[in-house]
Amino acid sequence: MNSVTGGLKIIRSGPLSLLQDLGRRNGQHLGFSEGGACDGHAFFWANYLLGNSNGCAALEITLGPFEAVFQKDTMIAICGADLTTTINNEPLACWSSAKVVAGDVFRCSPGNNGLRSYLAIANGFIAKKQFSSYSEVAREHFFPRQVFDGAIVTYDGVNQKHYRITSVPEKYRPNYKSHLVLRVIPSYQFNEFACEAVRLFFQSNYIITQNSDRMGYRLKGEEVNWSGAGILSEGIAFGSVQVPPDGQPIVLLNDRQTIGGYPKLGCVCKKDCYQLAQRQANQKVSFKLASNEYFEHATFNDFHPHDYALLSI
Amino acid sequence: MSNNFHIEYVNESSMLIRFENDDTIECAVMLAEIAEFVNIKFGCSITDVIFSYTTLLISVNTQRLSLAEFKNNLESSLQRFLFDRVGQKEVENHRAVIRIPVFYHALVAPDLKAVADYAELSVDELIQAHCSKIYFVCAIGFSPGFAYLGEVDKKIAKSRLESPRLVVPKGSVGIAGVQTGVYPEASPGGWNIIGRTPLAMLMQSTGSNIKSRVNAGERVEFFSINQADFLAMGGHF
Repeated sequence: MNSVTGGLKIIRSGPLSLLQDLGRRNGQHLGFSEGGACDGHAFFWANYLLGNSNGCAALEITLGPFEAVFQKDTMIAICGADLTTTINNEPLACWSSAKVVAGDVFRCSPGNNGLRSYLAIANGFIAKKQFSSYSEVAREHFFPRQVFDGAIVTYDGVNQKHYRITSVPEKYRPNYKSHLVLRVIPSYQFNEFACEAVRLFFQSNYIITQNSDRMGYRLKGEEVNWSGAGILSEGIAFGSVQVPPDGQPIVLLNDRQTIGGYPKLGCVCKKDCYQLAQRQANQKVSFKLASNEYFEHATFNDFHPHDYALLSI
Repeated sequence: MSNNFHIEYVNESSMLIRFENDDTIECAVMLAEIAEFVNIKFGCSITDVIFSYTTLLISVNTQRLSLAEFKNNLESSLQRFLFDRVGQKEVENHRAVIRIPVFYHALVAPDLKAVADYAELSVDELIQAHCSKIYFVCAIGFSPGFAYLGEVDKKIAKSRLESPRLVVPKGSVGIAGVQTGVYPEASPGGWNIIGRTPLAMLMQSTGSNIKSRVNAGERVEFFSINQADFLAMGGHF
């Protein structure tokens, strides 16, 4: 295999494997979802371990089984869900970088902590851009998918001498099995909900239902009543907590619809959305109001390791 | 008309401009102008502007500009923009009306008869009613390229189906209350389907860009075509 062509040859793409980066830009006014890596925390770390810029495209592998062959020597990093990952059947540590050579076989199958694992590669994967991004939205049929059985997802090989093996400090590796408290920035119709409805919302535990995906996490628990009038459709921001007529809240994530007419309580903080996207059906979550301090720090919300230390997630 | 607006924080990187205006059409026309203005004025500092009825949701690139800074800039420039706008005589919409051919026929429109019955009109009169108005784009969303057009004659404003269909074919033209619109792709949907257009609503343009046939601030008019024209223009059943 020469150095110009070739990349990662996908043998088995599994239930949901997507190319993702920071998400698409300037497509939402036409109704195209934003997309982007669901668990920004793991995605940013995976790129960071390789010295990539934080927007480099990585593979987001949901659960697996996934199998692929590297066609060029390079460096990779795996962060996020602790899936069972191997290179040539040798275990590969999560939250670390590793060297791979042409012909190496990468496999990944469901593990016991989290849903989505990020396979980042030195300098990022290269594909066809849509709206200034490599992110794929599985629901849309307008663009061809990039990760499927037999596809070759290209990357530029690198000289491994310039790299060393790195790993993420223990304290930045989340336990996706723990109870998650989602901080909510009150916005949209928050003030128009009855006090009693809001109190109930913040006091209750909610269970993640099976109908949860990259578009949104549908929760089940105490009904949140909306007694206000119908509202006109409005733009939906990342993390919006939407309350449909059945009163069961939905936290809207990367592949959310761009506009919608259901009332919303506000938005879950981005960093908490990242953790939510790793949770599985039947896990419990609850909500609390985001503090003002959070909001001030959050204005420089993009990944920075110091930022994480500061917020001690 | 009232031009009162609020700028609200929505999450760590988005702001919502909300206008108080009961005339949704008038508001949509103004918001389309504002969306264009915001895009030009703030360029790289923003990543998305979503326009819908009386609101604009703006995603801010907070690596370039803090949300608080952006809010201040937006507030003052918007006030100036609105002040200048009020001084102008109601500008006739300078953009052309987008004309969309529709094959109105039971072959492609399962609800044509039901809507006509609801309106107590013949099918021909219903077609006439749907084609006789110029509609404004009030929002684009739900799915890529789906434009909410308003408003249809109250007489034909049949509310959406009790239970949505699992698949509404691409190009279907529907009515839901006072709104009308075209399904750009096959999708589930609950609108009353009265016809089908052979035209694509989304098109690949240069590079990786996508163009929508209908955009914010534009006006749309439907006209009736026969089966032969429908097929000749690339329509299919």
